[in-house]
Amino acid sequence: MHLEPLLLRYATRSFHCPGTSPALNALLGAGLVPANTLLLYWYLFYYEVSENDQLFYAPVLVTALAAQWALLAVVSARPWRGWFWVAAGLSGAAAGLAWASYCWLLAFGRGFNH
Amino acid sequence: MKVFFNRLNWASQVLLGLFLVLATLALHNYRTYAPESRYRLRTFYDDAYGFPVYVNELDFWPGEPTISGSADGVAMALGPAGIDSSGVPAGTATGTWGRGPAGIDNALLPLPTALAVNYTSVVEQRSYGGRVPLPRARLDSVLAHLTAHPEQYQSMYAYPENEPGFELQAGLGPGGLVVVWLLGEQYQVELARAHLPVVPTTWPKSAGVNPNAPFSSAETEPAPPARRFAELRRQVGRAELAHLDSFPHTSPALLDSLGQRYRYRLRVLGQPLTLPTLNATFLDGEREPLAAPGGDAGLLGRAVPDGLHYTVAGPALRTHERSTVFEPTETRRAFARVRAACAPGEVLELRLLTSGEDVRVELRCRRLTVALPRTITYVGPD
Repeated sequence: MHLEPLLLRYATRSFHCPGTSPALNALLGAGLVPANTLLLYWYLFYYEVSENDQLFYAPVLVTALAAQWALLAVVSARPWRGWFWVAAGLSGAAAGLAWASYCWLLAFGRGFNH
Repeated sequence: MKVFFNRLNWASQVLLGLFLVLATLALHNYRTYAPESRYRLRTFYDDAYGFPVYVNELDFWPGEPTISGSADGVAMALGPAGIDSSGVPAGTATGTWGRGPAGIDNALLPLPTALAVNYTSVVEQRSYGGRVPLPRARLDSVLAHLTAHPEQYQSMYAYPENEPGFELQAGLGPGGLVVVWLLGEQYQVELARAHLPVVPTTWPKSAGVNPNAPFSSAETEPAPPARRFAELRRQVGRAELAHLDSFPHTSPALLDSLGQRYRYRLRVLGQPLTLPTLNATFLDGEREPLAAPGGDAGLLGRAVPDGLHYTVAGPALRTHERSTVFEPTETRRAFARVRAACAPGEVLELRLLTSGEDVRVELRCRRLTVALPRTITYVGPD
């Protein structure tokens, strides 16, 4: 296994693709992330959703948000990179909390009827 | 365009592709969406107490003969008495009763005369079914009162194009209790109430049960354990105390889930009893005064007593009104024990022995006496 080039790339954080514009990519990505999340919300949860599926609102959307911020942060250059990691970390923590609360609801917080 | 795309890195390309895919999906969703098209049939309901109910059938049926060929089709011809239905042209087919889970629509329909129900109380694990007649006279009197006193039936919202309209709501309770209300935003009038017979359960699916077969109680289906019914009764009591929404303040008439009648003599001994004050409630939810000559209620052939309310006329006593509540499970068990011990043809006796503040209850025959220690006696205010 010749992992040296990849590791070197990770170590030096040189993800910048030659020929691309760092500012353009960062700004476009930063716009696309919330837009995609909004579209996902419209597609999945805007219209009639069964009461069971409404429990997925928060975990699914926040996880999608966190994944997109993380993807954007991996390939971006400084100084956007740091801020994208901050956004990814915050939304990732929120996603973890949302999944934990979803599991808690699933296990213990069920209604009297179910 | 190609230059622009080439200037993007792979992450932006992925995000852009995701955007296009999601936008396509969301637009398609928007184009194909029709309201209430997703979950057309809702099969799980809660009854008036919040218990889960599985509804197989809940249809309002008009008694009028159908004019069109379809069995469900109904041509609107008559308006309810006392209600101006001149806005509805006669002979207009406005919709159908008997479609959908609840049969409630915003289209104007003639008032139904029957409700066909088949539902399963999940708590009790048994199904109830039958037809509830909606008496026309009751509907007419309610509607006449509604016309005479419109200020008592204020609606917050008008129906489309200011048409007069009402909703009917059916409340399904444990024990086969079905209550039908005429419903508005601010009012709720009870139209009919019925006890439905038990029908063979189709949910949860049990193999080898023919739902069309006539139900015979003891042979086909074993009765649920008494503990479950006592539990249910407690929960119903809690629900009543909590003043649940859309719930009448009359206490529900519950069937004795064991479906048994007991033959016994009810006798109150001890303190002298003022004569007309002995009231008994029974597990089928009825309450009736008992003729009590000398504290003897006479021979009863009916359900297990649930509680006794009586007045003790002791001049030295500080308090006089009392009510004694029996534990149904315990009472049933005592009945079974004493009945097994007594001679054939002998009538059991349920004794209430009062002395001062102390009340003892026992069930006895000639050979065996069983005390009911967990009886609760409330001594009310004078």
